[in-house]
Amino acid sequence: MGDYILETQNLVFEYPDGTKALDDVSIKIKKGHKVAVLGSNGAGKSTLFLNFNGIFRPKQGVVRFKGEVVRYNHRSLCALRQKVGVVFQDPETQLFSSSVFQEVSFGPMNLNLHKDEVIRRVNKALVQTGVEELKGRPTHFLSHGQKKRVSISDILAMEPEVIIFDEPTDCLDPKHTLQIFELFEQLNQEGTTIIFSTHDVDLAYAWADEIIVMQNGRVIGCGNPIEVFSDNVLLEQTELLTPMVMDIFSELKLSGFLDENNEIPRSKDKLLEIIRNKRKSN
Amino acid sequence: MITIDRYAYCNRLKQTNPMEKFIFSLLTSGVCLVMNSMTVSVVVVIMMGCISVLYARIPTKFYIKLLSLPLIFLIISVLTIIITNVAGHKDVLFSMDIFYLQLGITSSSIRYGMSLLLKALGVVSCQYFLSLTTSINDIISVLKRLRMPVLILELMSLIYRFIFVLMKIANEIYVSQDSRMGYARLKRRFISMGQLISVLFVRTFKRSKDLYMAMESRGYNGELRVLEEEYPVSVKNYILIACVELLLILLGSLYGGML
Ligand SMILES: Nc1ncnc2c1ncn2[C@@H]1O[C@H](COP(=O)(O)OP(=O)(O)O)[C@@H](O)[C@H]1O
Ligand SMILES: [Mg+2]
Repeated sequence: MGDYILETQNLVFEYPDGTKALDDVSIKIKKGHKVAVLGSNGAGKSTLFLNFNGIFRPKQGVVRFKGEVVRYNHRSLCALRQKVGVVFQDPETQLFSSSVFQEVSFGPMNLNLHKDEVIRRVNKALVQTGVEELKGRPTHFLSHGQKKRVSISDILAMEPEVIIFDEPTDCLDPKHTLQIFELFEQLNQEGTTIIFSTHDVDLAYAWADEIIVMQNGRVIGCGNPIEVFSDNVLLEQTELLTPMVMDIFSELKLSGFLDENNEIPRSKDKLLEIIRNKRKSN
Repeated sequence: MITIDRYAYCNRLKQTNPMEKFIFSLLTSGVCLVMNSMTVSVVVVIMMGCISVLYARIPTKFYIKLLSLPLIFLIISVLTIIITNVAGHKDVLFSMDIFYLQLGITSSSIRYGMSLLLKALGVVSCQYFLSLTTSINDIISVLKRLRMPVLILELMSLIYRFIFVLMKIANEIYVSQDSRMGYARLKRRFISMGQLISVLFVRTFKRSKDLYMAMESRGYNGELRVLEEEYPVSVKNYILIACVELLLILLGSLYGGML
C-alpha cells in the first residue's frame, strides 16, 4: 500500500463542454518506477496528467498521493505541486518569461527557497538538459527543441518526487532524445518516479517498468512491457504496433533459429547479443 | 523593432549593469532638455552615436537608418515652426506673400527650429542607446528596483513575451494560408486576413488559458516571482557618468545657445 506514490480511483473527468475525457480510470503507480502511458491522440493522456497535478479537479473519484487523498484547497494543492511536476507537451505554452534564467527560476522561487539555493538549482537544471549556454539568450531566439529542453529544466529545478513528461521526445532529434532518456535514467536512479506519454512503442518497450494503455478516456491495459505487448487482443483493439525487437525475436524463434528458453530481450543491443551468442554456439 | 530587440541581447554592453545604462541615458537626456543649448545637443547626439556604434558595436548602417526614422518626422514638424508669419519682424531672411499672409523665415525662427530639432535628436539618441544595449528584461528589473508597481511590470514582461508568441502563430497561419493560395487575389486576401485575425484571437485566448495552467502547476499563486539576474556594480562607471554629465552642464552654461 505504502509503495504507491500516485493512485487514482474511479476517476471521471469532464471538460466544461461536456467531453468525457477520463472515464473510470483506476491506476496505481509504484514509487521509483518508470511508467509509459500509450494511447492515440485524444486518448486522455494529457488530461490524466493534469489530474495528477491537481490542475484539473475530477468530477468523480479520487487522486491519491502517497496514500493520501488529494484535497483541492490551497495548501494541499501547493504541497502536491511541489512533489509532482508536469512538463507540458508544447513548450511554447509553458514558457512565460523571455529570459531563460528567469523562466527556470520561477518554480524554485515559488517554493520559497533561499536565493542561493534557487541559483544552484537553476544552474544544475540547465546543465542537466544541456542548455546552460543558452542562459543569456531570450526564449524567443531558441529553436523548438531548445525550448523543450528549457521547459524540462523548469520542472527539474523544482526537484519533485514525481516528474510527468507529456510527450517528451515530441520535437527532439535522436541525439537529444537519447540525452533526455539518459537524464531520465539518472533521475530515476536518484529515486524520482517518472511518468511519460509517448507514441514511440520501441522506446516505451525498452525503457519502461510499466506500461499503461489508454483509449477513449479509459485504461484498457496495464502491466510490464512484455505482458502488454504480448497481449494480442489488446494490441488489436488499440492498433498499437509491436516493438521491433519483439517482432524480430518472435520471428527468429518461429523460424527455429532461436530456441524457446531465451528470455525475451528488451532492447536492440540485447537482441543482437542473443543472436551473436547463438551464432557462436553453432 | 525586432532588430532592436536582437541587438539588445548581443551587444558589447550587454553585461554592463542595466541600472548604470538606465541612469546614464536618463540623466543625459535630462541635461540635454534642461540646458537648452545647441552645443550640448550636438555633443549628446555625437557621444551617444559613438558609444552605440563604436563601443556597443551596433552596425553603423543600422544605427543611421534608425536615427533617420524620427528625423523625417522631426524635419517636417520643425519646418512648420521655422516658417512663420513674418509681418513686423526685422530679421527676415526670406518671405513670400500668400493672400493676406506674409509667410517667411526669420533668423530667430531658424535658430529656434534648429535647437528644437537637435534637442529632440539628442533625446532620441539617448533612448536608442538604452534600447539598443539593454534588453526589456533588464529594463524591467531596473524599474522594479525603482519601485514601479509590480502589476504593471508583470504585465510588461508577459506582453513582451507574447509579442513573439503571437508573431509566431500569425506567421504560421499566414504561411499555411499562403501555401493554399489564400492571398492570390484581392478578394481572397481580405477574407484570409479576416480569418487570420479571428483565428489569432481565439488561439491567444487558448494560449493564455494554457499558460495559466502551466504556471499554476509550478506553484503560481498570484505573484510572478522570478530571480533577477545580477550584474556587478561598477563605481568607475558611476564616476564616469557623473563626469560626463558635469562636463555637459559646464559646456551648456559656457556656450549656451551658440553653435
Ligand atoms: N480544453 C478542452 N476542452 C474540451 N475538450 C478537450 C479539451 N482538451 C482536450 N479535450 C478532449 O479531451 C480528450 C482527451 O484529450 P487529451 O487528454 O488532450 O488527449 P491526449 O493527450 O491523449 O492526446 C480528447 O477527446 C479531446 O478532444
Ligand atoms: Mg496530449
